[in-house]
Amino acid sequence: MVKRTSPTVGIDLGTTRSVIAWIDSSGKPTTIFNREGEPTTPSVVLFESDGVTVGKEAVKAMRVLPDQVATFAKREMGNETYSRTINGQNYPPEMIQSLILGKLRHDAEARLGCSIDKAVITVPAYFNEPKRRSTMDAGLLAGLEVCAVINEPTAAAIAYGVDKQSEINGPQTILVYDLGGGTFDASLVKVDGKRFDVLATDGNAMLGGLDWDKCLARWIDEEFSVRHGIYPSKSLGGDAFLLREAEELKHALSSRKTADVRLEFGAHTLQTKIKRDDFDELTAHLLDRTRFTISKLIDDSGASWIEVDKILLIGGSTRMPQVAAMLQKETGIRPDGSISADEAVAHGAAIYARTLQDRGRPLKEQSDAPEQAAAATDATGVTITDVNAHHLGVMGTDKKTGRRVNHIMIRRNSSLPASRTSRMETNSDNQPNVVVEVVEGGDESGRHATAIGRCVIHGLPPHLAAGTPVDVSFHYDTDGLIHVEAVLPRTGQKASLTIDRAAGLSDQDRDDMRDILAALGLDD
Amino acid sequence: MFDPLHKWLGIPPEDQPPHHYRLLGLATFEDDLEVIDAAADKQLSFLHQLANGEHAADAEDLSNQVSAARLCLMSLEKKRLYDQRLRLRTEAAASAAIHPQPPTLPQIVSPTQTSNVSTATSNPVAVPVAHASPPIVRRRNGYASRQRGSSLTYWHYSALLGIVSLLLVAIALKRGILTLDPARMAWLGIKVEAPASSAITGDGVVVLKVDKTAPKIVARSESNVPTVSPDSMPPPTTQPPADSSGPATAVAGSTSDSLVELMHPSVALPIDGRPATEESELNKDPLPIDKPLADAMALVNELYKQKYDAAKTSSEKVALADQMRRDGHQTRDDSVGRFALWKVARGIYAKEGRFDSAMETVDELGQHYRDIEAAQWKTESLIDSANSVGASDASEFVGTAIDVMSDLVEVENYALAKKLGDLTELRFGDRMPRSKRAEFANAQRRIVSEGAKHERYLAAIQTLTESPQDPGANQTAGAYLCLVRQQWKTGLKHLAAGPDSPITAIAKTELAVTLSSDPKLVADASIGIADRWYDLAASMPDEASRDATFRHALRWYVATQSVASGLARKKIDMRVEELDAKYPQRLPDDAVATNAATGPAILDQQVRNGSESKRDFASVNGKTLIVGMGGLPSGHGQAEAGVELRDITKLTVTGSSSHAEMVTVDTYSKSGFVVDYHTVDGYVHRVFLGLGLDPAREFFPLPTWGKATIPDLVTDIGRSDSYTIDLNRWAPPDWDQRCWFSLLMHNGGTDRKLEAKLSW
Repeated sequence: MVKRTSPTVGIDLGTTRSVIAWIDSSGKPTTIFNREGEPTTPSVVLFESDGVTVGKEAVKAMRVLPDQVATFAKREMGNETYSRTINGQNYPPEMIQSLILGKLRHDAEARLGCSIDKAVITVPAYFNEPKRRSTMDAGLLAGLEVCAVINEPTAAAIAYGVDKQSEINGPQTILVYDLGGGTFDASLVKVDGKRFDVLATDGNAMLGGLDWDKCLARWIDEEFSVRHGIYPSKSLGGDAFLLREAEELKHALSSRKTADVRLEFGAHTLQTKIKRDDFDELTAHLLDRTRFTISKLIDDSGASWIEVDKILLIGGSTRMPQVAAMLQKETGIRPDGSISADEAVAHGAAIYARTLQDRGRPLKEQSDAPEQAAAATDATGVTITDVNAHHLGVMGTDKKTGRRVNHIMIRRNSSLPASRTSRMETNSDNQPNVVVEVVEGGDESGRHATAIGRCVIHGLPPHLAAGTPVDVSFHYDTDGLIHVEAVLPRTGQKASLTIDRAAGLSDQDRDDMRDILAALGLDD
Repeated sequence: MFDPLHKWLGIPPEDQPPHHYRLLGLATFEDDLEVIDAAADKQLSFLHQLANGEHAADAEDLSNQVSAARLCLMSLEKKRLYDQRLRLRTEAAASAAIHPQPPTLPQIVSPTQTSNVSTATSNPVAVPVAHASPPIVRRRNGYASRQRGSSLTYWHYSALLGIVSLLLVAIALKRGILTLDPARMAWLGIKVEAPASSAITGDGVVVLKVDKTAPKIVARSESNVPTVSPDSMPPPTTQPPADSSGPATAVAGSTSDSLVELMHPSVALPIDGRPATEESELNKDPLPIDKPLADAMALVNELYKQKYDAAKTSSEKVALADQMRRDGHQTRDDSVGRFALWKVARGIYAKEGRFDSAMETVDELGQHYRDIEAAQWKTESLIDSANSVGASDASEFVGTAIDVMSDLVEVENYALAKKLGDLTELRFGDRMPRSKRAEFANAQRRIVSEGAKHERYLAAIQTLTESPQDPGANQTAGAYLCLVRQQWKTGLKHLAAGPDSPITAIAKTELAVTLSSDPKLVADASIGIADRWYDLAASMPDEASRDATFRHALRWYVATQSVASGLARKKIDMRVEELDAKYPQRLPDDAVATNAATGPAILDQQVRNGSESKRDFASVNGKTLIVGMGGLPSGHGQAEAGVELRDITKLTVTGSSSHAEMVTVDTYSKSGFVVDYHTVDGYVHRVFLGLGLDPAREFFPLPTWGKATIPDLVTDIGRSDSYTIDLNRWAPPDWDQRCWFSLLMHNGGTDRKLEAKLSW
């Protein structure tokens, strides 16, 4: 008998729901159900004085104790300024995520009857290094050794076996359409054997099934007002009631063309019907936003629809028939949703985890270096190229208008590593120094950009005329480091800066958090 | 407070919420779909950049709005409706902004003006008195805030004064004290029609062209209410009519001269005088016209004006209207007075937004008076009340509007139907309950498509007056009459005169058959005609034509049902069943009558007797019906015998019975005739004519033919040897002269027998 080894699991750590999966004894990816007997666990955490509850029970508590419940922590990952203060205790997003991971781990251990200490966790393709690093930290806090952090679309492609297909059919370009509860992500992935290149990624961080629910909730609200002259939304608890009913109605409409609506609110009853066509019309503008996003994605990537071989549907909201219909109409490709949309990502992660485990390669070093940021070939032979999700630029002044502009050095969706040098000029006569301000994201004028660092060339020679050239070079490395160098060619003076985008929590931070978590104790 | 619309899209607060074009940064009513698409893409791309910033939620929300705007403007149908609404809204807003003060040109219309104009010289005193002071114009404004609550405003007072003065002017006009000079009217901006020859059609409406900025809904009787006190008016009653033979032709049918109308301008309704010729109309009172109506209106005003003045709140006014309606019911002896009362009550309801009560009142008027243009009246009531209808009634209002729109289409008043549709759209378009939206859009589409066909039909008729043989025009006219209006009797000859086409061929055949008097030929051809229509229906271009053709085929199938036999009959039955299921409601014009299929005849016969006693019996022998009880000592038994008759309205029945008296065994004991009346909807009415019935009879749904229910009406014609029965007496209004006439005996006593010989 072979000694039973603890399996490496795959975890889809979602914005609204999370899933954990492993490769079962027959070699098939299988979702591990949680303690409540469900495949997905709501990514919701309830903090109470006597402990922490994660999942369905926490969702229920949202109605009574909204202040003590943390949701959508994933959106804030890597945001150092964000923390949820509950009962006087600060909880940074990593901690909230770690509690969810902890719940998944505990429930899976109970199901499988063995300990679980290694996992592959998925993140959206647009996650930048800080966010990926935070995710790893969250795993560590939950007592998991994070073997790898891979992109969700990549995991989906693995789950669908696109890598195997590409070995037969040649390189495949796939569009992964991921419409979840609270976010929409679209990624164009090129799969060539074991090589996965994310060509482009885009999305809407606040567009998901919840918005569809809201439209239906508004409809129910109006139906009530038409029939009874009352708006449930204006009553206490009315919004929660509407959203709950709307979600059920949406599910009904995903499987049936017409759904009966029989609702009671207070003393009023509403009895009517809604057709799927009506629902589609109510939400057409939301669906159209995803259409816009994917067509923009295709434009950005420089590809065209003809090059797309396959469309994969993931995320629970893709169960709405309108999604597949729109994609087929838009692209002429029949989208593939054959794997349960909620579980595909976790299954892909589990398959990847299994290959890592089978190679038996010491995985230790990978937890230190974000492996997928490096275009490195690991033991499985799977190569993953990353792209940067946001523009990287330098703030400057437009000579003609005198306005501040964002001079974009490395455009978003460039594959890494990437380098670029630009010649700029000094602004005014007798300028004593040159400041290079590095920003991430934002628009052409630099609004809504995040400043991520600055470097200054001091001590310029006197009497320097305005318009003296300054060369600025960017190098975005595979290890998540951005090297910025500014050179004054005339004098050879230079200044440089290294921005560590991969910087996560310090050991000190991690220990502190562990203490807090230990004090809290997961309620299990 | 961060204002994303302003900061990001440059839409200042005063322009918020922006319309779709503004939101997309387009010229208003931009038509180029590519431009719209590109603009939406641009906005979305821009907003997408902002989605990672501080106001991410705002960016997402705006993106949703932009996306919704794009979808609306990229759909031709939705864009058309949206543009229409936006235009109406812009115009309403513009006119509200332009006309806070009275316009410089005063306008006046008196309720009796159209037909009451003479070219005689005007009274130099009276006119200036009525219009000297600065007029106040009340204008309907779709977006004016509704007056609620009880405060009597300046408007109310001045409007009431205005009524009085206008009434006085009207009376003066009618009595000939005051005449209107068209030239002067023209100077005042009013077009006055000279008393036209014979073309005046009971319509006291003048459409005022106000100005281009006015709302599309042209206000009628834009009563610029003079602010003169009543005392300053020439007292009309003190002056005898200068010329008793002078023009005194107030008009009926007009809904314009009620108490409320005078103060609240309403909408000009072109009322076309379509003759109503239904026979049931003859039982109704004639529509009051001319002087009697005017007098009655004056009386109503006199009687109720004070109460109306005193009614301060909306509910008080409605209560007054209720009172007037009740008073009307009690005023049975004065048909004109009742008419006036209900008319005014309707006006009050409409003004107070009680469109449901206004509708009921119109229905009551329609029940009691001939030639009421109910659809027009209802439209007017709806339009009048639209502004005062609350949100909770919106659904019902839209539903009613859809019904009335359909009524208007039935009477071919497409213009008015469209107007009502536009108004409903303007008023409730964005708050229309979802459940009603599709129905409403359908009604609007129907108006547009049928209206266009109607216009082509009118053009075709015009052509036909010049060249009656024109095949194209004949087909257009025929297609409209038959396929849209389902008036096959009139339309068929046009269809038959069309250019060579399948439909012309069938129409020709049908026409030949209906004119033929050879029953054999008719019977043979009828099934063929039905089949050919049935087959043609499938290839009809649109759904409405297809339905009309199927319905027509159904008529033929029904008409041939009784003459066919064997497999042919089986097929007809199946087709009838299929089409009946498809069109459960038959239209009034659905009966097909051929020459061969008219004239008195027995179509069918049936007998049935109870199973309790084997010796009950029922038989039909030609025109003789016999029913009898068996030998059960208790006297129980059931027997019915009947014939289906066509085109017989008067029957002579000679009867004989075995015994002088029937026995009453139990409460079911009875004997008599049962008449089942046939209409387009089948057998719908059963009358039991007892032969000396005991009181408190109970009934079974027997006989099993005809309507096969318990009787709708039980009456007694006594015991006699001979009866002359006028079947019209109990017939429903739409009886098509087909009926079952049955003789029935239940529990009549041992060995009792009844025999009835029919003759006509």
